[in-house]
Amino acid sequence: MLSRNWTGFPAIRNIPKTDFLIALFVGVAGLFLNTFELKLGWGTNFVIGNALVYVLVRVLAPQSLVLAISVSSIGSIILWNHLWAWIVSVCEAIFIAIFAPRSSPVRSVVLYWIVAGAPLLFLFYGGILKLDQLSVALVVAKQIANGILNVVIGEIIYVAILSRNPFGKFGHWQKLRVECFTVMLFMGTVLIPATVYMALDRPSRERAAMEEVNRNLESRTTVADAKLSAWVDSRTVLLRGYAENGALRRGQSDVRLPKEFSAEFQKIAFLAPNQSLAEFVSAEGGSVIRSTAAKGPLSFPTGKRARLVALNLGQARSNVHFALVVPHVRNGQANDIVAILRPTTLHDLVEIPGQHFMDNVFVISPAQGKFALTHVASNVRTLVGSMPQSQQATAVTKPVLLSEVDYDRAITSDLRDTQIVRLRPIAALPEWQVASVLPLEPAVLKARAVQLLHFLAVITFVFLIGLLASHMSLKASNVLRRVSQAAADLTQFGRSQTGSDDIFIEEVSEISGTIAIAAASFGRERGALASYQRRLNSIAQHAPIIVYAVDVADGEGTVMTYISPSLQQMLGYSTAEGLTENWWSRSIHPDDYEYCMAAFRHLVPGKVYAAEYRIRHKNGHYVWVYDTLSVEPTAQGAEHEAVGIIMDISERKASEDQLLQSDKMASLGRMISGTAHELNQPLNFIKMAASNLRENALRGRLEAEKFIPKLENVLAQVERASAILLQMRVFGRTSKEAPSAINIQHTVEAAILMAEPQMELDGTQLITEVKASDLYVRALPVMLEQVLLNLFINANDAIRSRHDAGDSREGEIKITIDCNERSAVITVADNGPGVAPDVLPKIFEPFFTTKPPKEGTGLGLSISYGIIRDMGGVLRAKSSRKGARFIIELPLAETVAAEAA
Amino acid sequence: MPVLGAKPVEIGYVYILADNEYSGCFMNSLQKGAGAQHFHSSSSILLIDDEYEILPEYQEFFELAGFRTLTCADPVQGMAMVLETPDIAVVITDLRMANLDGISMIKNLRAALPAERNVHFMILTGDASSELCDDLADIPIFLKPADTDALVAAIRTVLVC
Repeated sequence: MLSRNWTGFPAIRNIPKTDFLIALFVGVAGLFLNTFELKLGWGTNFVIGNALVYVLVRVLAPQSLVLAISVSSIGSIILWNHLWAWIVSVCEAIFIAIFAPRSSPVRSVVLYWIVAGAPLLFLFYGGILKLDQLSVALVVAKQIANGILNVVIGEIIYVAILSRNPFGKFGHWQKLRVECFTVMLFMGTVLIPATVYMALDRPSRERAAMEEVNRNLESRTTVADAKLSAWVDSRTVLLRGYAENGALRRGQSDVRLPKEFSAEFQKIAFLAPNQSLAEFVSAEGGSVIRSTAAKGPLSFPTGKRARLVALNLGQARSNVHFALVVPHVRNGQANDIVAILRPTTLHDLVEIPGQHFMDNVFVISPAQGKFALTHVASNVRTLVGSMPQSQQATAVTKPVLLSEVDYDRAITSDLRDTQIVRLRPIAALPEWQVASVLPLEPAVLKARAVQLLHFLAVITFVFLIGLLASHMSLKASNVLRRVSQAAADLTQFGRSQTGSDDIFIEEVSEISGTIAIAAASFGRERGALASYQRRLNSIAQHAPIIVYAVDVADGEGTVMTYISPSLQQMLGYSTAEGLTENWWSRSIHPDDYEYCMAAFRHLVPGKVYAAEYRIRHKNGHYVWVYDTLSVEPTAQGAEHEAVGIIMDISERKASEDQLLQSDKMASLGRMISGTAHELNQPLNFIKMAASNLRENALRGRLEAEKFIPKLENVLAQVERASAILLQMRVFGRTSKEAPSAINIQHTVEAAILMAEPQMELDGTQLITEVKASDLYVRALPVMLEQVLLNLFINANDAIRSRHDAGDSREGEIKITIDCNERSAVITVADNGPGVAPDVLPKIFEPFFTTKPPKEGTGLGLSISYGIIRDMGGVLRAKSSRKGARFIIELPLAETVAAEAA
Repeated sequence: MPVLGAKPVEIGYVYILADNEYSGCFMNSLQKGAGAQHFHSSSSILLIDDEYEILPEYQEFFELAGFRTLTCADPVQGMAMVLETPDIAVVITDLRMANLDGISMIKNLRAALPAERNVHFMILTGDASSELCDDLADIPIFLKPADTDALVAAIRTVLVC
């Protein structure tokens, strides 16, 4: 975990550079996406580029997230010069960065808009930009919906990514909490369909509003056209009548007009025959305005239909005058009537009384950019006058939007200032059109009110559902946490399972029930296991042994994985010290190291290994230990594990020298008593023979042939006695002599010499076979003799036990002297009953004996084993039905030649 | 006289049993008027020792002391002799013997002998460490080399009684 302060912002230096790079990249991508707007009508647009950034709300560091949003939102400054929108977006990012890790991102954003976003927008748009209430409300509602939508979309994309997890190796992709997921689902369900609906519905709603305005405009222009036509028709009739009455003379203008004409016309004249209208007008000091499209001479229609003509009269050339030209034939001669209209006449005709001039109907000549009405507002002149030709043509058939500002790109784009224009050709005034302009504002306001309601409804839903979702998700999360706690409780023995009545999800309830059942049985097993473990621990702690476990790979011990606390008692080390690397191998006595390593090499499963060696106590002194281990396959099966125990045998070792001596003494006792018995036999014989000789001599029966055999028997018995005494020789020696290279054969012969008398008594034969001669080993002869004697006596005892059991085959002990590469091998094999398989592993154990009490100390073989081991050799026992076999292997002495010399 | 179903052949002082069952056993009738005292003409002693060579010396010794003497090298055969020869009143045995040790033999005999037979046992052993169990505590032990005077005195004592 990174070190974090309470805001959840890690120190900048802890954030990897790649984090910032990713943030920058995502920010730019968001900026690009933000230029594609989702139009919801009347300039209300959603931008969803920030959603791209909020995908990474769990991945990026908080600072990086804020950085990414400030980049992706920067379009509001660069493109729309809208600093406030940028500030609100960045604040949103900061808020989410702080609270999302502890809550859910969606909940954070909802909270943000309630607490900070909405007030900020009201402040900026209402207080600083001073927009009207409706706009502010709409902007706030729209921004809230847009902001929440972005985070929800981000979450949905995150879930989608998480389910495939293609970027798993970049950063830490947290899993979603059930809370976040629920809130996201609910919000997405409300927001996305609402947004999609608004976006899809936009064209039809806009079209409907435009259509409404257009119908109004169309009716106005139609009415204006009809009025003009009707007026022209009625005035034509009146003017013709006026001319028929002779009121007008050809070629002269009547300055005094009758009252019914003077209100509308400023002059009525007749054109002279062949006088053109242009000639007449120029005579009047003006000119005829002709369209650029009709450059030819102004010709009158052949019909009798009157028409209006635009004229320039007087100085003010911008002012347009209109003349009603009525074709008239008088006395077979063309005598057209020209009636010049007063400036306001036409205006009064088309104008709708009581309407503001902006909303009114006027007459224009789009081709020439001329306005017929002096009082048409300049902005309207500009707007309408600057319409391109194509729009002018379009405006005849359908409404055209005119706007002073291109609002299309503004966040607060507003169509209220937009005008909508419609043109209609005037039947009575070719090249001129009736134009009507209406502002879009009323329609926009109406649409916006609806939009605002729509947004408010959505936001209300969002908040309500947010609450519900929060509640549900908290509950679901609680339930899941409880279930997970129940599962976790499985690992803790004795924890009671809480009730699960309020779990409202069927599957979870089932899981909970299953866990409860599992927990119960698990608890029982765990209880049994715990007490079992307690017993084991107690043994490991209180038994005077160390229990340990070592991993085994390729036949070698690798890592010590367990060592019992009794290590402290026995060797002074804590278990932690005992588990440090190489503790064991470093603590072995240097002299025992090689032997120890050899003893625990090539560890094979199912076998038992043992060694006795010295190991250093923490205080520095060495402790004799007996170490035995067995190798078992572990549960995983791939590796093996060795489990072993270490016993303190220092007491045994300390007394082993004494034991050696006492065994010697015990042997001495046995030998003496045996020897005494054996000695008594010849003595007895001698005494009896001597006594008989004396008796016979006393009685005077001194027959030489009877005496001589008796005396020879006596001499033989003396020989026998002295041979018996030879075997006592070994016990006179001291064991403090230094070992020297000795010839094995000599030692074997000496031992045989000592044992032979006793063997002969029991009828046991000693046979020696020398397969390799002149073998030298470094040893004390007396020690090796004692070992051999022990083996001979044991062999003889075994043969005797066989005899006791009724098998009277002759006893035989065969001694073989041989060698292998490095060792001399002495084998002592008997044809006794052999050693029982269950006894065989124990025969070298101290105080183990198969002999009746008093006959064996149980130390003979054990001490023999120790003696041979001290010489660097091995004493092994084998057995079959043919008898037992003891094999002594002793390393050959290196300096054979020197010592032998 | 030995009645063993086979007629003993007298060779000088020594009867050698022709029956193979008794090979290795020597049975001599005590010569009257050989200067030795005669206690019970019907009583004889049996000496059992698995050391084959010494048996003739024992035989000679005890006969010089005036006892009718039988010897045997095998305790199992010795037991049979005691059971089947009512004359035998004293049994002197070694302890450490190959086929059957002396103590077991005495126990077996005591169990097998009929009540009217009063056989005295003595032990003559070279094993100084020998100790007898309590129910055999009444049996006198003589250590080799034998104190001949004490042994003869002890035999006389039980034979007189």
